[in-house]
Amino acid sequence: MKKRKLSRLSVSDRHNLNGLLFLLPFLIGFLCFYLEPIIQSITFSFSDVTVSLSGYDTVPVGLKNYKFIFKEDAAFNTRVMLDFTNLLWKTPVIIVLSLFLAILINQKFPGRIFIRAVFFLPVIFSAGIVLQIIQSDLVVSSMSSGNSLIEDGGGVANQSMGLNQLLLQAGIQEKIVEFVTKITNNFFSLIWNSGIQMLIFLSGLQSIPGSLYEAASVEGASSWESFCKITVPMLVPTLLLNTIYTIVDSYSSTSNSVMALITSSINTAKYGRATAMAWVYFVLIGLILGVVFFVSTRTKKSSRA
Amino acid sequence: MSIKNLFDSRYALANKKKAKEIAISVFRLLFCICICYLFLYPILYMIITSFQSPSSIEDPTVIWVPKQLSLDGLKGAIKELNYWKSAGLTLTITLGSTAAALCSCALAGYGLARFKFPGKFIVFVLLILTIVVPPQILYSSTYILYRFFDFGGFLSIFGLHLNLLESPWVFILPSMFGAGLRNGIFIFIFYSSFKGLPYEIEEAAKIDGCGVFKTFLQVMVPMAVPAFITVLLFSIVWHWTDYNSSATYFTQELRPLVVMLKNLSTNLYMGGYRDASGSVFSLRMYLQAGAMLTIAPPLILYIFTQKYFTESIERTGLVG
Repeated sequence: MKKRKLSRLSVSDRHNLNGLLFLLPFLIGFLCFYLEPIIQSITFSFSDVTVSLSGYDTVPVGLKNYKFIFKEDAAFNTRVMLDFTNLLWKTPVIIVLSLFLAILINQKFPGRIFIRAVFFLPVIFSAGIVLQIIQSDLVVSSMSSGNSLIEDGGGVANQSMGLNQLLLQAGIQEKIVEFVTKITNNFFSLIWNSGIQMLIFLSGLQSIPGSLYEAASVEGASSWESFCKITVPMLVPTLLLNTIYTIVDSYSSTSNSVMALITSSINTAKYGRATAMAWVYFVLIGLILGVVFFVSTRTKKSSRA
Repeated sequence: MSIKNLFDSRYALANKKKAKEIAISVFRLLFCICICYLFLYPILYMIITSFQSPSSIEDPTVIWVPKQLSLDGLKGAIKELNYWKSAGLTLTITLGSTAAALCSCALAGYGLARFKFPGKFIVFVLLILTIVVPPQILYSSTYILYRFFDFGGFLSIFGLHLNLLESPWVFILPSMFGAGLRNGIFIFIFYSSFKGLPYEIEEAAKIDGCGVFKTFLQVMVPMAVPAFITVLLFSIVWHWTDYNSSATYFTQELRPLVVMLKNLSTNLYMGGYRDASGSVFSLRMYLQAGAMLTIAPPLILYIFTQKYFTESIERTGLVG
């Protein structure tokens, strides 16, 4: 029966079914390693979980965990707000910075092989822990700058007073000054966190055909014009990928205070509450990602039309 | 206007252009030096501090060049990190899961890039889900899952289950099925790389009677070498430096290197490494030596392969 059904399929259909064979490991992996934990952690978030030596027990409690984190847990709400403001200003800065670095090492100049090798170092040091150890030590030993590689340190406020005063006296708006000093204070951490984004931009830049630039220069376009009219539009998909990567990467960082809260709840055996927090946080991030995705597909369509 | 005037003005224009070019390259050089400083300073600091002797570490006159070199820091760090054993564990995890992930992710990426089958959209959604859902959310349930692992109920039919915790399999087994550490990103890299390759060669292979899997192995894989190198390096580095998952799944004596490094300062203190005044401050060289020992293997690998790596990144075409 089955054989006859297969033979009724056209040649191309049968060829295409091979695709499922290629994807079989991934699909099995999803069923075994993702689906079960995802469903389980959703049920955890609606129940009280107690773990014993022989296994675990869940007692359904409805929305109790969610009510707790929204109404009673002040730490969660403030940390989520803090995390979101950080995300909102850090993501664009990291994107611009990594684009700038990628353009820089995409040019041809003497010594660029060395420079390129150095610029790729943050990718190797993607471990927050190693940097943390070096950093905590640098602060102790030099006491010069409060520039924290990993987190926005508490003692940062003092060190940029000079720049702050200067800009304020120059008559620049307070909010802009605040933004600029925030960037300079965290420049170290920002630049060490933009390694992968730089790589993604670099590969995006390389995929732009050089003939476009040649045509533009024949037509008399300045380099700024060809940047605005060729590079930026061609990099839109890369930009989307990078924005999503930066947001996703933000919760794997060791400095993410929401994740720290979730981990500490797990460690104190409050599994139900921890998973509830995690899902609330993830849904909020998912909303941001959805907005990014929606906006970028819109601009893609309009730029094509 | 005489011809001479015209010539002069052209000459001036050329000069102006040249001056602009020089100004740009000077600016570029300065900027590069600044950025290099930001990247190299912590690394140099780490290397130099780890070779300092206990006596000169608190000498304020010693800033860059140590007065006397010593291996005390390295020795202490190797002992307290349990270096050879934990590095061996990390190496097993890294190599095993990287090899597994290369196979499973390349297959999945090719399947998504070149075949149109019913339900492809759903597979894409699942893939994005694996990238976007933070693993931390699932830790509390994956911990229990890996403690009594039975392949989604398959093994429990026979009354069996595996305990994956505290063993490298906790990383390798998921990687075999494209569900390991950041494997979604690897599948995506392979997907966009295979998608960018020309169809003609595959068609030719098909006409010559080459089966689908043979085409994949003998025609497509050699063309996607840059993607393989990119994923190889990412996978090695990310597995070597992973802290969150390692700390969750390894809680006994033998733990991956990064987890040991995180606990190094406590271990040093407990291990009696302190100077006369008993301050932790003078433990700096042990900590820095520990950091250096941890990051050294991927760093050395990178130094030797960076040429291939940088070229591969450019050719992978991460964006489909």
